[in-house]
Amino acid sequence: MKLQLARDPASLVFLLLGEALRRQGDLAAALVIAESGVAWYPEMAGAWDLLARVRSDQGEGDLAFDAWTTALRFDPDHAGAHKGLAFLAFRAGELDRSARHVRRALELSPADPALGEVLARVSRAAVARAPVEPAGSPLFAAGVSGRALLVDLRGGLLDGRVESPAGTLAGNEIGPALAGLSRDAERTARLLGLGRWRRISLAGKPGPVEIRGPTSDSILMLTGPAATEPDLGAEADRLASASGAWLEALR
Amino acid sequence: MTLPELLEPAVRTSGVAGAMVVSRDDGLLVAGTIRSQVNGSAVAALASRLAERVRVLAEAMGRAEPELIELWGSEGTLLAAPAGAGLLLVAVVSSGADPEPVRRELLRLTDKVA
Repeated sequence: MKLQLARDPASLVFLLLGEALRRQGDLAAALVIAESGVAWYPEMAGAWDLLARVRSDQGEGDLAFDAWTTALRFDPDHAGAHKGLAFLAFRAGELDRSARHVRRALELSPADPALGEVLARVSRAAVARAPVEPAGSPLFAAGVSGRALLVDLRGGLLDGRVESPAGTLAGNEIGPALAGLSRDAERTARLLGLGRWRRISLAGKPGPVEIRGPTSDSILMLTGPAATEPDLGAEADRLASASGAWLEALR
Repeated sequence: MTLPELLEPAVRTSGVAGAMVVSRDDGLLVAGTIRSQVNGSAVAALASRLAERVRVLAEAMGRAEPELIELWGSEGTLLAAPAGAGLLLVAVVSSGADPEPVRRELLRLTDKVA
């Protein structure tokens, strides 16, 4: 396969070769093949899936998340990507999101014998856990429970929770999504000469959303309780300040 | 009316360094008026990526995609408004300028561009 790929760098054999190297544990070589495949076929979900599996094996969960998310962008029905995201979510303790991806993967690959057992395991773990408010939480103290969230740069929950407009607890995938947005906001601001990003404001229905970086390694999101909330920005600034002080005190 | 003509009022707004229409799928610049200090292609690519991140976040929250995205930096602000037909309206506003006029202009243009 290596010879075939050397003769024809655009050959689809990279999918087989990359997976074989990954299974052999030669992750450095597998990564080279996977990245080359993505460069040749940037819109092929399978290429991104291969890259994600290698990244995941390397313990680079964020990069694996990005790659699997990209795979789904090009093919929303890619079972491997759903399976991978389910694994990442389970590893991060985000059981609702994990279960959703496993269910979708099962729909797409009903013959996969492992998926049914995985779903049962995720469901059992989800039942055993309930959300708790941490002691001393600045978000809880501010009375914004249900509409504020504080996460780290990997999307891990530090404080708070956000309810969907329907009033149900929004899924655990918010943290990684927020972390991904923060990463791109930082990159965008830097590359466009906008300086350091200070805030992200989203306007729309059912209300505004404000995002801040209380510390260099945390992200705060506050959602508006109503369609028009002119003071939400100021409220987000106050919460960011309180959250930053809280996090510093915990260090 | 052409896209550059549609964008003209936004570009004339005080403090606006550039306004453009971007293809969301590939991050390519479709049309725009850009001052020399702004790299239009970079703005297009980065703004479309940012909009995609926001879309994913909104989906995770069970909300509709926002009508307007604002990224505030210490030296300027990027505004992006998803329009129909896979397009994104984007403006870059200099630091210290009031973004409200261009905010209104972008929202007014989203229907027209689509």
